[in-house]
Formats: sequence, C-alpha cells, structure tokens
Amino acid sequence: MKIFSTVILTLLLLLVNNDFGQSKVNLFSLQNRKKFADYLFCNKDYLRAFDEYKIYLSEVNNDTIKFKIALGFRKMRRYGEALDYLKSLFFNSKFAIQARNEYFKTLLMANKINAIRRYIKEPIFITGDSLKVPLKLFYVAKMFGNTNLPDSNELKKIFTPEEYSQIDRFYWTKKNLPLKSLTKAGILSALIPGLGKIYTQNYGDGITAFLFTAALGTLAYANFKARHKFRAWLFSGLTALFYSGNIYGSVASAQIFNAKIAFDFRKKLKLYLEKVNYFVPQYNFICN
Amino acid sequence: MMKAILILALLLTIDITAQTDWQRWKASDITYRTAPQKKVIFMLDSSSFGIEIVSAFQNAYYLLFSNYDGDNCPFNPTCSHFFVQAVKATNILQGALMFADRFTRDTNLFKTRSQYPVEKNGKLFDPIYFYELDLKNINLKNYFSAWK
Repeated sequence: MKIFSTVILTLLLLLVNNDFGQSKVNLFSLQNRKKFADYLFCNKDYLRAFDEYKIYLSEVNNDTIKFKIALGFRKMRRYGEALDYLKSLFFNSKFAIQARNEYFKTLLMANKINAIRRYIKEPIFITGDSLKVPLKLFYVAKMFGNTNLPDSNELKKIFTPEEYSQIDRFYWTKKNLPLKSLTKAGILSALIPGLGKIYTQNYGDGITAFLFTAALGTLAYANFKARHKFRAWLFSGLTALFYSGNIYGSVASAQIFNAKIAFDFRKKLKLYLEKVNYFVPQYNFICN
Repeated sequence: MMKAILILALLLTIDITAQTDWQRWKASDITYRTAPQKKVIFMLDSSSFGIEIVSAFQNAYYLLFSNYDGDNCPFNPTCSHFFVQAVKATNILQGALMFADRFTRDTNLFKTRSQYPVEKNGKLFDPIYFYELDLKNINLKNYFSAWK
C-alpha cells in the first residue's frame, strides 16, 4: 500500500510539474516568427507581416523576405518603399534579375514613365537576361506617354509572337487615336457658333450654343433697328460674351474629348498588362 | 372667335402645366429629421478686383433670385459658384468665358446624363479644372470616381 501511494504521488507530482505539462516550444523564435509572418503575408495582412519580417531580418539576411516585403508594399500602393527594397536586391542577390524586372513593373504601376526612360539607359539594368522585361516595359511606357512611338519593327524583336499580336494592336490604336484638333474646334465655333461642339461630338451643346447666340444676336439687331440703344448694346454685349464663350468652350471640349480618349486607351492597356502580369513570370514561392 | 380659341388654348396650357405642380406638392413620407438649413452668407470677397466684381454679382443673384428659386441648378458646382471659382482659378476674362460656356451648357435641353458623371444627390459633376485649358488639371481618375 505504501509503495502504491508513493507511485501515485510521484505521478501526480510529475503531472503538476511545469516541465512535464508544457512543451518547450519557443513561439518567438526566429523560425516561428518567419512562419507566422508568412501566414500573415499570405492573408494579405502585410503591415503585421512586415513587423515580424523586420525582426527576422535584424538577425538573418534573407533576400526572399526582402523581395516579399517589396511586393507587399507594392500591393499596398506604397511604391516608394517597394522600389527601395527592390533596389537593395540589385547586387549580390539571387533575386538580382527578378528585382530589376519588378523594379520596372513598379515604376510603370506608379506611372513614373520618365523614370523608366531614364533608367533603361543605365548600365546596371542592361545585363543579359535582366534586360528583357525592362525593355518590354520601356516600349509599353512609350505608349503611355505623349512622345513619339518607336518603329513597329522594333517591337517585333522584343516581344514574343503571342505578346506582339496584342501589343501591335495597341500600337496601331495609339498611333491612330481619333483625337480632335483644338484649333479646328475653335475655328469651327468662330465660323458658326456651336459647330466646334458638334465637332467634339457634343451635339446638344452645339445646337444650344447656336440657338442661344442666334437669339441674342437677333435681339440685339431688332433693338438697334427699333433704336432702343441701351437694350441693343446690352444684347450686343451678351452676344459677344456667349459667342466668345462658345469658342472657348469648344476648345476646352476638344481637350476633354482627347483626354477621355487617351484615358480609355491607357485603361485598356493597363488591363492587358495586368492580365499578362507586366510580362514578369509568376513566382511560386510567394505563397505556397 | 380666334381670340376665344387662343384664350381657351392658353387656359388649357396653364392647366396642364399647373397639373405638374401637384407632383412637387404631393404628400411626402413623415420624417422627424429636420432638413439642413443652407445659410447663404452675403460677403464681399475682396481678394482681387475681378473676384470683388463677381462676388458682388453673386450676392445680388443670391438675394434676388437664388433664394426664391431654390436649389434648381443641375450641376455641381452650381453656375454661380462655377463663375466665382473660375475667376479665382484664372482671371476675370477667362472666368467670364468659362461661365458663358457653362451657362450655354446649362440651357442645353438635350443634355444627357451620360455626358457628365452623376453624383449621389443627382447633380451633374462638372468641375472647373476641366475648363482651365490646362491638360495637367484634367484628372479623369477623380472625374470617373464621381460617376455613380
């Protein structure tokens, strides 16, 4: 009986003992922090993931994590921070090429067209395979801007046949955008009030402008004829104001028309780029 | 005889148009929420000579017309606000031309809702920065976000 009670007591003691009852897992170890950060990252909880990653990076240098942080910042549209992280991977890193590709992709996403034009000439980007994607994005950036487009044959050399068939379509659309001339719109409205607006496809505004100016002009003429000097000059002034206002409005209308056309084009191009992931290959290590 | 027909036609026209007024005055659902009072502050903006003139006209317009006519302008900003903002953003001459153009567009009976983005309150969004003839100011991202 004594032995039996001793065994039971020992067992009880062992159960109560902390060392026996709890595992010795350190939840705050670097590896566990990384695991937790990966989980947060894949659940798009980027800011909290970055906090954990930064603690991990303070102890271990890991290019994959830096790359992931850059992509996370870009997803949050914090392009400046994303570019900084990508820049840190340009040299002595296994992600040197990917970082350059992503750097250009980020620049295009941030609409930094001039920066793309500037950086493409820098030797650090022109190293073998790393040039392919930046060069593609450089030519696409030209389509976003208002500068002269390159020769279409140049595109054939850079893009794959599949990509080229789409890009060529965008190229010719951009080359033949149905833009309206601001001067023409102004001159047309000067000749016949409202004609400039009709030219910019604002038919209702054009007809109204014509009727409005004509009515005021008629009133001015009728009052001059009836020798009502004050009213005649008043209506003459109003006619002049609305006549000039219509010329001004036609020029503005042409400018708005062109802006809308350019906006639609850019939107379609951006949708295509998103579809092909900006010509950058997809990574399978980001969230798996 | 002709006179009588004309008077009758006139009376009938008044009757028809008067009938539409019932829509405006029809019984509305009971609500205990007080409507926000839009207080017009009559102040002369004297930041520049041009704005001072336009501001005087705006005050006169509010006092004599707008207060009685109510909130009937289909645009946001309203034509009077557009005028003042246009003069502030540019100068008296360009502002006047911008206003003349806006006023013509306002009188357009054929204007469609597809021409302008419609705001939640039903107003047509037509900002001044579109008409400053500065391409940099034409931010279509903001413009289309106002589209309902």
